[in-house]
Amino acid sequence: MKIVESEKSESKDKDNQGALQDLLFAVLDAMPHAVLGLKDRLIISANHAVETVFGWKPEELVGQSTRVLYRTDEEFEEIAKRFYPALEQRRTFFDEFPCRHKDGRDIVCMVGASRVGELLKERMIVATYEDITARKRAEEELREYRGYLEKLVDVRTNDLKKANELLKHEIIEREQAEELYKTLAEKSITAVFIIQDRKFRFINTTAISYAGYTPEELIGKDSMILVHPEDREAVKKKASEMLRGKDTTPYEYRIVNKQGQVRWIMQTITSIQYEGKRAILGNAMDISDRKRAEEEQHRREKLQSVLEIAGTVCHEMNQPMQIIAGYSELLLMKTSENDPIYKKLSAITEQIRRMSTITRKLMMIKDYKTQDYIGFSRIIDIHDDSDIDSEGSEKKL
Amino acid sequence: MVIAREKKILVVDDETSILTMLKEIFSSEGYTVRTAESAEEALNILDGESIKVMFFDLRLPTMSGIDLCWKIREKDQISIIYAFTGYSTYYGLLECRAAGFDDFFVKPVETKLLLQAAHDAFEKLERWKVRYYELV
Repeated sequence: MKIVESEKSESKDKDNQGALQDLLFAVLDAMPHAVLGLKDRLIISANHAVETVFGWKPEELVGQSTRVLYRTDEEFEEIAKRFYPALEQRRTFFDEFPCRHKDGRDIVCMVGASRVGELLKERMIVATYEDITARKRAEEELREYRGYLEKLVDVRTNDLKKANELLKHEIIEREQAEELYKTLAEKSITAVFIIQDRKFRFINTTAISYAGYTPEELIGKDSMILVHPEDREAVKKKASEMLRGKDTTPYEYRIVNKQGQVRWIMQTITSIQYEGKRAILGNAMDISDRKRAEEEQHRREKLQSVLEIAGTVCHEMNQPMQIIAGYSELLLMKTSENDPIYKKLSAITEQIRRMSTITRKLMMIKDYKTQDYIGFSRIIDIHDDSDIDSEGSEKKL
Repeated sequence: MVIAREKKILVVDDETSILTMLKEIFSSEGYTVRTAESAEEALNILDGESIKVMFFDLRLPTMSGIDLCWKIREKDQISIIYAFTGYSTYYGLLECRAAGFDDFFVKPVETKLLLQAAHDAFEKLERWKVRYYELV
């Protein structure tokens, strides 16, 4: 502790006072903060800690203006404006203030000041300087780090929010897609089904209506059970070609439903993933009506050509038959029953009658039997199709 | 005095062998037979003489048997006219009735049936006393 020594005294009182002063000086020297005695901004005493805080030795500072402790003239004035008016009002005052180290470094100090005596005479004060630069920096860093953390949290929160919204959106879209898919599959007017490992996994209402079975009767069953036995090989071949992309045209085949009815189906299939495994999605339509119409058309055309042939045959055959019949009957009328020729003439007449029965049946052809409409070639049953009673022994033409 | 009236039949068919055969059949029963191979020829014959019983084939060259019947029926509602054809259906029958044919036969017609038809026709004309109203 250095002090201006101009006022030393030799008296005993002064000795006692000196002991007290020594104690005070020892206390001040033990303090980690710089402690300065100031009189009108002139340093009149300084403890050892000034060196730690400011780099100045106490003896370098004593006698100097406190200006050396600040960075600029403006700041030197500024701190005076803050402290002295305050100290006129109260005994002590504290404030943070930027200071300057001897080596030119900027430091931040917590400056404390207490006036000496009841009144602030000659601006006599004791000032303490605590270097809080490191703490300030730590605080600043902490603040910055907190700011950074807050920003980070904000960004993360935002990201999370966005991700959440995206997820929600995706869930909604997915739910809508699933709903759409379900509706499409369930309410489709075409049959929709899924086959996995050769077994039915899904089958919609329309498909159920084609098959005539309940869903329980079909799910898990071999997908071939519905296919007409005669069409199974062809269906397997077509399906395989379509799955390999070789043929994209829908194929037609017959199914036999639970009631034993044969229905014509037109179908396309495609490969899909179903519950994580490869499966076949099938789309099918009942084309029995179209097939029936086609067959009906075909049958009509056949009937038309049969009628044309029948017409020609009748016309061409009946003319000569008329002549033979006319003459043989005329001869018969003029021949006695006892005449050996009579029997022969009778036979001729009888055979002509048989032939005329046949041509008459040809003329009466109206239709084919309806149960013959699909896929079989038959001869025309003129006995069933015409109204003329059979006289001859021939049943088929 | 009883005068045997001549019973005349007109037969129209484009096939001469049919005409020959029918002429022989009807003649054998005492009828007078006129034959024509076309509708036009038939109309010519009818222009020249009164014939009240006729047999027409439906398929004739140029004018058909149906049209010939229509034509005759314009002026003559009394004559008995028969159709006979090589081929016909129910609709053919309807058309024949509409044209004014009295009956309809599909070839080959039994000789007995033809003769019966001719016989019935003359019996009808007699019953109707047609000859009192016009020259038969």
